[in-house]
Amino acid sequence: MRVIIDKIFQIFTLSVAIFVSIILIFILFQLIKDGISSLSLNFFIESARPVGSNSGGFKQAILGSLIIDSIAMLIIVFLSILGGLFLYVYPETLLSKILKESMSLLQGTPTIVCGICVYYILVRSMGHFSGLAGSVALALVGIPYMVLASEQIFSMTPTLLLEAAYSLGLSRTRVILYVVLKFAKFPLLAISLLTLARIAGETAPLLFTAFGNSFLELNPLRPMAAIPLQIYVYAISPYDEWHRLAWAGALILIAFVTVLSLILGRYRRLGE
Amino acid sequence: MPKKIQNIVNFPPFCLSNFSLFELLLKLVAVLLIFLPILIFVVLFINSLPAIYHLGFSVFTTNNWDPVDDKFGVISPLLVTVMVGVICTFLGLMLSTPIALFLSFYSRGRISAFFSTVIDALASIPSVVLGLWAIFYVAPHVDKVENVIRDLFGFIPFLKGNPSPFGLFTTILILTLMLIPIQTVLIKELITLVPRNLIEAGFSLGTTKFEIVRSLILPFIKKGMIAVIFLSLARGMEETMATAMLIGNRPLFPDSLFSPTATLTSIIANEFAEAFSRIYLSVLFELGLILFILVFVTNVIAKLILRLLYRGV
Repeated sequence: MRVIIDKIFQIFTLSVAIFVSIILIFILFQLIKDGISSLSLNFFIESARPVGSNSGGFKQAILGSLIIDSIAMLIIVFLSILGGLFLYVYPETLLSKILKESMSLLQGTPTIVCGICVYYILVRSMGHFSGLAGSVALALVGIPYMVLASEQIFSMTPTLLLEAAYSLGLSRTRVILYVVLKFAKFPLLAISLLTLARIAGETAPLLFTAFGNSFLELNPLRPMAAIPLQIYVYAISPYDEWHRLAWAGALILIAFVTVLSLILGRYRRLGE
Repeated sequence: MPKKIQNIVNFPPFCLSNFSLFELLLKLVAVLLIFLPILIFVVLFINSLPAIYHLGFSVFTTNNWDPVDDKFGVISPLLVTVMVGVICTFLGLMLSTPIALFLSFYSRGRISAFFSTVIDALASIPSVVLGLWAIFYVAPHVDKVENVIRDLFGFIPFLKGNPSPFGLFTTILILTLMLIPIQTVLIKELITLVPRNLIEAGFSLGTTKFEIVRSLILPFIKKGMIAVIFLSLARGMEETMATAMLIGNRPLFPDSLFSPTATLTSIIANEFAEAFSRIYLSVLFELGLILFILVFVTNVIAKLILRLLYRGV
């Protein structure tokens, strides 16, 4: 009897796991089916077109996402590595405890709240929406993950290397620059890519900062389109054509995000 | 030490300036980062001042959303936000607890790796994509499920209503799906905190895995589960895109589980760009402030519980 109950429970847990997997496979299947059928060369080389022209693509959104995400990543990587180094160099000081708390507070901040704050700080003062504001909003979302993750990575530096460096008489700055950073090079690259995967799908911070644009815009000081924004706009529109484009965009986005996060699976749990 | 290296290392002015400049930079960045959440709070607060000044406490007493007449009731989106979070958290726990148990006790090797990948992949789907999927593949079919629920449980007042493709129910389904991976990972972490030797002692007594789970694992992780509940509650409440796409955007209290309504996040996402008056915009910032505080408090409760429980671990 006990063994039977155990078996029943095992089958129950297995079936729940299979149920969730089926939903995922369902999502991916429909995404690929609808995405592939509307994916064509035009999708990459044309900007948005009005409804009825039976063409149009995501060129402006892809380029916009590229620019917005690269600027955001520049801000994130620069600030987070320094922030992570601070946590690593002064581990038990009051300031670093406060920094850790404020990072976990920022991590919990709703992304849309980051968006409207950047709207007030940047968009209001500049007078118009801009891709740069979108980057800053995305940076606000990405910084906490990367600060906490990079601190964990720095603390993995072998003590042996550190002691060897110090015994040569190197100053702390030099130890950090030549030993700690060098040792953490590849893990840092990995977590930057993971942070990129995380912010690439964020839509809420971009809604009122980058705002979206139907035309190709390469100047980050002007309103810019981004892939997730374009998906959102097309998804809630009433036109079948636009829906198809949204599916193709979603396929591109998810291919990018999933591939990145599955390749770097080993580092996934850092910074959470 | 050779003279040359000694010169590089100990050349006083160089060493001094280099050293202090870098550390100064570190400190500056640290202070900058500390100020980010404070800055967010201050911006939200400053911007919601006009609303607080003009409307005062009336936002908490009216159930009305009429931007033209400057009548805004915050209480219904607030309640809906909390309700969505709570329902999704508990629905999600019902699915994620078995998955976590399956992953830690009933599977090994490839099977475990496969299901872990599924969970990871589910976690990495952007919410706008899930929303897109739900608009075209969940919303059109959701009324059948809603009819079944209404026929079976219609005697409960809140479950009796007209089915609608976009509304509370659709949102809850999708948000539950989004919370499952987060909860699964957290519960798996909790299970790893159970002392290994207790589990092994249990097995050596000849107990089955189910008995171990019921009499050892579940009591052990019970308190930690409260923290998991609060963490996923915060995640559920702050979710924006899928909610904004699916909930229907009718900023009034829902008549039933199926009717369209609005949460704090969905109102901000849908109305911020078209706020036409100063008070309107300010009310939206106030919604943001309320959301910020709500999520902050929930997260802090979760962290306090975790810290109290697992101080040593």
